[in-house]
Formats: sequence, C-alpha cells, structure tokens
Amino acid sequence: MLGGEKQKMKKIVLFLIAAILLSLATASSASVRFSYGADTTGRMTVDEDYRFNTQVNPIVGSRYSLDLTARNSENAICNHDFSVEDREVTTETGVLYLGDTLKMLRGLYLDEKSGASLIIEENKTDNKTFVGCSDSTIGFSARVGLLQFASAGRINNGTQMYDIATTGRGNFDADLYAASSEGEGQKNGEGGCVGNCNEYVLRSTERISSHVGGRFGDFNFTARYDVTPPWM
Amino acid sequence: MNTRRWVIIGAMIAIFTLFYAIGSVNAGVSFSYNLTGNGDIKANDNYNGKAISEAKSSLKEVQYSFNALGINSDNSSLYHSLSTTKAKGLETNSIFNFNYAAAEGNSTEGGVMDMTENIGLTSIYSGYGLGLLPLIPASCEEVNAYSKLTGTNVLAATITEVEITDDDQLGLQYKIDVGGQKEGYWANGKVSAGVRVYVVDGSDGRFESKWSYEEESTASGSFEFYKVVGYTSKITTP
Repeated sequence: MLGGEKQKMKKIVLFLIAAILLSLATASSASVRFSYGADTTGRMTVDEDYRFNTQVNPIVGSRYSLDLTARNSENAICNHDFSVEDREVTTETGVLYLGDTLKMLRGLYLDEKSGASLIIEENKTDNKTFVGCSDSTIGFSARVGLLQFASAGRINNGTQMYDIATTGRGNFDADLYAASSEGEGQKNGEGGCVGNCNEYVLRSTERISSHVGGRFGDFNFTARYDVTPPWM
Repeated sequence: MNTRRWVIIGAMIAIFTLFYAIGSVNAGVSFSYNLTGNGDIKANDNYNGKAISEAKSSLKEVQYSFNALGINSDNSSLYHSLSTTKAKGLETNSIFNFNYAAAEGNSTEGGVMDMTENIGLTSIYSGYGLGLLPLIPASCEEVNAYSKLTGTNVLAATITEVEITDDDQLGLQYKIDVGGQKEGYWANGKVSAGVRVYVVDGSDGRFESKWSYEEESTASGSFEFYKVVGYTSKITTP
C-alpha cells in the first residue's frame, strides 16, 4: 500500500516536470533578431513592417512598423534593434535629425506603430466557457525640422509596453487605442455544448483612447504606455 | 516523506512557472505623458468601461473624457496619467501649466488655453422577487462630475478616482485646483466645476426613495479655485 502511494507520488512529480517542459517547448518558436545603425547627410529612409498571428486558440497577434524619411539632413542617425524570441517582440529605436538649413526641402517624417491582440476561449468549471478579446495599438509620428528620439517597446501575448522620450521642433502626435471585451458561454468542459452553443453573454467591455500632440513649436515629450488585457 | 517533499517542490516549480508565464498580475491599461514646449498643445483622452454581473443583476459603467488645448503657448507643460485595474477602478491625474504667448509683430492671435474634463458613473440593479414574497424594486445611480476651464496664464491640476469593483464598492471623487503659475499669482480666465447626481434606491424595498442633486461653481477674471466632489453609493445589493 505504501509502495503504491510512492509510485503514485512519483507519477505526479513526473507529470509536473513533463508539464513544465511541455509548456516551455510549446512556447518556443522561430526567433528573429537584427540591428543596424545608419549615419548620413542627405536622404535616409527606413521601412519596416512585422506581423504575426497564431491561427488556433488562443489567437495571438503582434504588429510593428517603422517608417522614416529624412530629407536634406545635415546629420541623420537611426539606430534600431528588433528581436522576436518566443513570440515576444522587443524594439529599441534611436533617431537624431538635423536639417540642412541651406536647403528648402528638408525635414523628417517618422512613424512608429505597434499593436497587440488576443482572443482566448477557455473551458471553466460549472459548464461555463470564458471568452476574452483584446486589441491595442500605440503609435508615435512626427513631422519635424529637428528631432532627438528614443523609444523602447515590447509586445507579448496580447500585452504591450511602449516608452518614448523625445525633443524636437515641429509637429508630433502620440496615440493609444485599446479595447477589450469578456464574455461567458455554456459548454460542458470537454468542447461539447450544454444547450445552445451560441448562448454567449457579454460580461464587460473596456475602451480607451489617448491622443496628445504638439504643433509649430519646440517640444520635449516623454510617455509610457502599458496595456494588459483585464482578465490577465 | 521524501517523496512528499519532492511533490511539494514540484508543485512550487509548476506554480512559479505558471506565474512567470502569466507575467504581470497588475492587469489593466495605464499611460502617462509629459509634454513641455511652445506652440500649440492638444490632448484628448477617453475611457469607457462597462461590466455586467449576472449574480448581482447589475450593470456598472464608467465614462471619462479629458480635453486640453493650448494655442500659441510659451513654455507651457501638460502632464496626464490614466490607469485602470479590475481591483481598483479608474484613476487619473492631470497638470496643465499654460503660459500664453502675447500677440507680436504680424501675429494678432494671443495665446489661450481650454480644458474640459468629465467623469460619469452609471449603475443599474434589476429588481427581484422570491415566489410570493414582495418584489424589491430596481435601483439606479447616475453621477457626473465635470469641469470647464479657459484662460491665459493658468496652472490647473485635477485628480479623478472611481471605484467600480466586483464587490459592492462604488464611488467617485473629483478634485480640481486652479491658480496662477507662480506662488501668489492668480489665474486669468474662467472656470466652472460641478456635479449632477440622480439616484433611485429601491434596495430598501420602497419605490419612493428617489433624489437628485445638481450644483455648479464658477469663477472668472483673476481667481484661485479649488473644489472637491465626492459620491459614495449607499445602495445595498443582495
């Protein structure tokens, strides 16, 4: 009897270790990492676009884009790090722009945007199913004659963080949009239905938007944005 | 005994891994920004949160909006933060320090600022009855606190706190403090701040418990202005 209990305990320990290893194994996926530094007088362009989406429950999405055009610069620098490791996207961007005042057509256009989304369906106890859905986008854009800009971002599993510190002269806009909703349905905990599967009930919704911008002047702007789906 | 210890250690590792995978437990959305500069400043923030509870037969909703506009400013600053968590509700802070740029040369437009803030709270509880026992009527609350400010040389600070949690805590607090940009100076412009409340409380089993309250204070010219508005729900739910 005592030996049987030991065997049972061993099985539980092995099961826990296997579960941990499995969770680590399924979390890993392809990784991408690159960084560059560009320093120029004259014209510089940067164009990056990253999109990722899983197709099965939970549906996880990440988006990132960077668009930069510097015209007739006296000095334009762009340092950028981008990496995706286990679906976690991290970015760091540093930009310096000083226009050539002898040229009429000069200026910098910068647009950095990131987004996260998550749709999740989970079986719960008491024949209930939880459904959560969230989507968020954070961005910074500027049309300036002078700029020093640094940002750091992270997107992971429906959450995102974005830090900005910038000084410059001209126009800029920083935006946040986040929406989430939670619902409850009826299932038997094994993927089958109790009654009608379409009987989902909305439990809560949340919507946030933020916009701040400066026009035609010197500015010094710092911001931090954090988005986590409310059920996490 | 040793096996049991291994089980506990294994379970602790599993729990730790689970928390690590989930990440932050401080869920919600938060942001803060700080802008200093010249020229025009424009900010617009909105929040809307709604929760429906079947167990309590209730619907709770929070609406928040913040608008700040500064035209032709000179060395002005705007700070704003907003955070929302399921455990606490909504909190916001703002500080707008506006210094106008005087009309000069060909420019005939002097600097001016405009700021409005609105926080609203709505809750509805359905009535209920048990067999032949008397019906408890439905209850509802509608609370709205707001401020409107225009001026030229103004330092304005506001704080908003809304409690809307899964348990029965429900309340709202709004503070506004407006003055001149330096100690001893007054603000120039006009400010109004007020509150509107409408409550129908059927939770005590009576239909006639109904009240409303409206109030607004205004200052204009040169002024210092401070106001606090608070509301705590007294409606009890089953």
